[in-house]
Amino acid sequence: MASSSSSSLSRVVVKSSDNNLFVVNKKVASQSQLLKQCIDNMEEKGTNDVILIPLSNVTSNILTLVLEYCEKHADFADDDNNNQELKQWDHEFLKKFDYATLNSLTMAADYMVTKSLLNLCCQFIADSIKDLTVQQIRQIFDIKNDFTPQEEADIKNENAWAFR
Amino acid sequence: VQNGNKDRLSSLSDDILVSILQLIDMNDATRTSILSRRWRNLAPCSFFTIVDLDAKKTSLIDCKTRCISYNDVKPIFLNWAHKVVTSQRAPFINDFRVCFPLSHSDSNCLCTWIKFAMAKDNLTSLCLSFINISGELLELLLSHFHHLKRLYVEGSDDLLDLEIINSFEKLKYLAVHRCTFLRKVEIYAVKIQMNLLSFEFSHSQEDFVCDSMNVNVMHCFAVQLTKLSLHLDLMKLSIYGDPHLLSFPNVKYLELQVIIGHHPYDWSHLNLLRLRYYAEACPVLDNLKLQ
Repeated sequence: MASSSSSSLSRVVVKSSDNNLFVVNKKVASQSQLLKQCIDNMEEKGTNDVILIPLSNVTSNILTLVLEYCEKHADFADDDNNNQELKQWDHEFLKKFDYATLNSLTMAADYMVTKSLLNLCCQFIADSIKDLTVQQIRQIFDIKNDFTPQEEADIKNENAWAFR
Repeated sequence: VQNGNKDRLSSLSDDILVSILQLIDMNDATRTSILSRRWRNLAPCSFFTIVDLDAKKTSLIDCKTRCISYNDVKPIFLNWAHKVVTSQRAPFINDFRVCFPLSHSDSNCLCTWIKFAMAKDNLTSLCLSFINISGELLELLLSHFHHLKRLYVEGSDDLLDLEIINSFEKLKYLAVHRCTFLRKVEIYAVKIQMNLLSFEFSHSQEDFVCDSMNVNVMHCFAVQLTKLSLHLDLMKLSIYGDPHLLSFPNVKYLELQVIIGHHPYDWSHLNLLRLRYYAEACPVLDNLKLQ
C-alpha cells in the first residue's frame, strides 16, 4: 500500500470487517481522522509495536478504495487543495462506481472521518440527482412513498413555488 | 452492500443526506420533501448557503409563455420569501438574491430581507435586480458587508449617485445595469487599501460594468481594473464634448456594446470614431469586443 519512502515504524495495519489486513503508510493513514486519532493515541502511550486498527464497519473492497483515495491525497498533502490534477483525479475516481459502491464509500468516508472524501461523495451525489424527477430520486435512494394522497397534495400546496 | 444486488443509495444517514441537500439548489432541495416522511423532515433543517429568491426560477412562471403575472403571484411570492428567510438557520450565507418587482407598500418585506442579510455579515455576493435602492442606502449596506466580493445592481430608479469610498477592500466585481437615472459613479480608494487591492487582485478577474453614459468619474480604482465592459448609446453621447475618461493602465479586455439610433438629419451619432477614446484609454489592451 505504502508508496513513499519512510521507515517501517511509520506504518500501521488496518483490519477490514471481513478480516483482511492492510499495511498503510502513516502519512496515508493520516488522511483519515479516525486512523490519525488512533495513531496519535498510541504514540502518546509510547508504543513501539506495530499498531493494529480494526474497522468493523468497512469491508475490504471498500477499504481498498478509501485507501486508494487517501494515498493519492497524501501525495498532494503539501499542495493546496485547488490542485487541478487532483480535482481531475477525484472526478475520474468517483465516476466509475455504481450507486451501491458509492453508498458504501460515502458511509466509509463518514465512519473513517475522511472529510474531503465525504464532501466529494456528497457533491457527486448532489450533482447526479439535481435535475431528476421525484420518481427517479425515489428509485435511486430506494425510498418508499409513505404519504397518503391527501398529505402529498398538502405538501405540494405548501411548497407550490418549488414544484414545476 | 446491505441490499443484496440492488444498486441503490439506500443506507445513508440523515446527516449525510442533509449535507447532500445543502449542495443542491434550494428549490430542488425543497422538492425532496415530497419523497417520503423521513425526507420531509430533512430539507427544512438543511442550511442553505445560497438563497436565491427569483420568481422566474419557480413554478410561478407560466410554463408555456415563460411570463409571470407579477401582480397575481405577489402574495405567493412574498409568502414564500418570508418563509424561506424566517426559517433559515444557516450560520452563514454565501449568496443572497431576490428578484421580484416590488412597490413602496412592500417596504416591510424589503426591510426583513435586508435585516436577514445583514445578520449574516459574511455575505460574499449581493444582487439587487429591480429593487429601487438609493445610493445612500446601498452605501450603508455595503459598509456593513466587509466580505462582499460581488455586487450586482439592476434597474434601480432611485439610484442617482453611487459613491464607493474606502470601505470594501474585498469587492472585486461590481455591476450596475439599467439604472435609468444614474448620474454619477465615483469610486475612491485610499493608499492603504490600494496595497491590499493590488495584492488581492493579482490572480482574479475584476469587472467594472456600467450602462449609463453619464458616468463621469472613476478614481484610483481604474488602476486595478483588468476588464471593462460598457454599454453605450451613441445618441446620448454628447456631440461636442469628448467623453471625459481616465486612463485604465491594466485593462486588457474591453467590451463595448453600442446602440446606434435613427435620427433623420443628424448623422454625427453614427460616428464610431468617437469610440477610439475608449481604446486609447487602455494602453495594454489585448482583447476588444464591439457589438
